Amino acid sequence: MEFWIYVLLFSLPSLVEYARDPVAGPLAPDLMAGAGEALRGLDCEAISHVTARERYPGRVTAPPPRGDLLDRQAVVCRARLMPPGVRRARDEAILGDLRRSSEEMAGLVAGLADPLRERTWLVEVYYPDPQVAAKVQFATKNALLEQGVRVTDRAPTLAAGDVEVLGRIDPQRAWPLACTRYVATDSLGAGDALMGVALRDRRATILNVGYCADGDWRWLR
Amino acid sequence: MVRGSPPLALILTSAILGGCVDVYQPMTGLHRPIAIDIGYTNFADLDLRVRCRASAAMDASQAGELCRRVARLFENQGARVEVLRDGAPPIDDAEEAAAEGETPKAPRAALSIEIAGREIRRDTTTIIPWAWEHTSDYTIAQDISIRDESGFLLAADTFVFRFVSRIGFFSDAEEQFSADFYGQLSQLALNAKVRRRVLAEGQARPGSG
Repeated sequence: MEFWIYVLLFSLPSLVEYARDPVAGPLAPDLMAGAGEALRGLDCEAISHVTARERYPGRVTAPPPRGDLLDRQAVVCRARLMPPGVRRARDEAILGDLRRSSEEMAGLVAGLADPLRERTWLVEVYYPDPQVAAKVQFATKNALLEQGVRVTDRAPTLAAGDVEVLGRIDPQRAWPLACTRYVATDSLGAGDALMGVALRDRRATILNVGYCADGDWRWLR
Repeated sequence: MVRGSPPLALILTSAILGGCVDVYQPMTGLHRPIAIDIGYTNFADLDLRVRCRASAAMDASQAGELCRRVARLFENQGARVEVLRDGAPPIDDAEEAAAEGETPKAPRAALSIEIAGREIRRDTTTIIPWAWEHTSDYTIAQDISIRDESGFLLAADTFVFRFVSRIGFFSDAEEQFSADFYGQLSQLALNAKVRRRVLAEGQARPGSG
């Protein structure tokens, strides 16, 4: 009997801590109502008590002046904008990371040498879902503007025959060919450049980016 | 949504009849949606090298076991996999072929995956000093990096997860973690493979074949 009392005493601090754990403690409110699903809707970050105090001064208490019995840590969780399963997995992965990826892609264009960077940029997005494509295009244009790049809403156009031919050849050859045709048909002028954002593989969750200027196509990422 | 706490009787019953089970909490990266189906041959044209670094979060035998499982994961998807010993220098195909007196063959796509674990937090309770310690809560970060043949970093990510012990009857924590971890790893490798291909297209100038 004494043994179990010792076990209880030794584990008491941990039990007290778990009881207050908002997501996985034995007394967590979600225990009875699909805790697993609730946890998957959160993005969490483990931070130290000190960092938590700095970020959330009113909500995290100061450690006791003579030290603490427990090694405390804060877990900051943010609920996802869309619950899991509402959007297609690939779309959710692309859109969930869109802020970071659009800034990264815009950074690649903004980092080009001056004669190119100073051009007016058209943005074209090739993605299977038009609604997602529109969101990606909007985010990319915003990111370019934030980086000081001149952007236009004008879209490059191709003749119906060009589109038919380009649709039948593999993407590796299609992009340079489309670029040549854009310039040949004056859809892209001398002061313009095109930033192409594309999903190159339907199983991938990353967007690739390239640009077309003076009839020459190059992949940046 | 307002949810009530479990009734006291249920907790007491659980304490008497149940045991300690693990609860898995994906914290960062692991519960991101994946578009790849790991049941298909996604890496049929790929040579893969896997290295798992031993650390405080993962001793040498655990790192070896993880690497074997990762190798099996990619072999099942059609890749040719080589597990590198932790600490071994990277292998250069051209140098290796030259050392063996062979003419270098046309290279297949080759990626190197490195997995390194970091312990973020571990709560242990000493039940019997030097004899019985119980780990009730631990948080681990797995840093994954994928490079091409030249060492160029194609993809990197950090997966953070937490396991908590608590009273209960049934746990599928390990299965959930495995599904998340191997799914994300496959997705990351596929993204790296796509990026490598696109970058290679970018380097090949028109007319160069």
